Amino acid sequence: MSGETVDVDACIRSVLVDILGISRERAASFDDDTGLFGTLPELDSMAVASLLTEIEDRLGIMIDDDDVDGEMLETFGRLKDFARAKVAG
Amino acid sequence: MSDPACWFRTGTGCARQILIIEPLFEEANRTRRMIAQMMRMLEAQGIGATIVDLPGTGESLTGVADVRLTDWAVAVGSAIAATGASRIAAFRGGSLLGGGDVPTWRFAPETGGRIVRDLRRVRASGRSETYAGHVLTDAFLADLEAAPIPVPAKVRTVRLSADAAPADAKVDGAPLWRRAEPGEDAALSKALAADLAQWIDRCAAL
Repeated sequence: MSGETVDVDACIRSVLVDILGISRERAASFDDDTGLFGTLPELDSMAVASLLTEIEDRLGIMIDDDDVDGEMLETFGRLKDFARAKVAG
Repeated sequence: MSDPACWFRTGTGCARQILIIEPLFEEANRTRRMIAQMMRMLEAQGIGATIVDLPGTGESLTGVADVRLTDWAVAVGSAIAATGASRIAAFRGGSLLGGGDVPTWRFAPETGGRIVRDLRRVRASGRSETYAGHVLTDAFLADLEAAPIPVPAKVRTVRLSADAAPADAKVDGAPLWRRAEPGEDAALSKALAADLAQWIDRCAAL
């Protein structure tokens, strides 16, 4: 991603691999419309907590639990947009 | 103190003994296999290890609702005395205990504040009164939230490569403590056991 100091796209793909235990190939195949919460069986509500905490750690951001809803976790693209907005402050 | 007969120990006959402080709560379950693999690798190098049973967890008969953080620090001190351990290996939130004069190796240490935040998030996502099955009191959580990571006289900190926080060494691997089905990562266990064993050797030489 040009102009981005932190590669949010790569970071979120690798968090999905590490937290959900899905293969790198599968994570690499995700596009912005790929469904996450409600679509990926590995991503249950407990896994959401781990996923958010790990994204916070790797991107050095804080995610307010009030910001977390089904919408921002609906697709890979939405989660990326959310994280990018946090990184940008 | 829990019954030492129930402790998980390896290499009890070894001259060198270390005490292991596991991650706290659910993270301990998720990393138990990794730590057990490490303990067997250490035993093969002549280093015995004991996992301390913190009151209210593991094989302890105490209810976790009756526990304060100071009880855990006492348990660590008692276990060091009982096993003759000369080093501590602490993982994640286990790094909040111990410290003092005992040289400490730690993996992915985490602050109390972040652990409490994580616990609250898990409770909220599970829509439960408990913290992933653990009945924790507000007093205990306040202890944990305020607990600083101790700074022992001799300390070595190891973290995962993906972790941006400073460390003496970084190892490749996934944060198994955050996985619902952590499985195993033999390469990570091996890298950690090797780093820990080398550090123990170096400390002995000092």
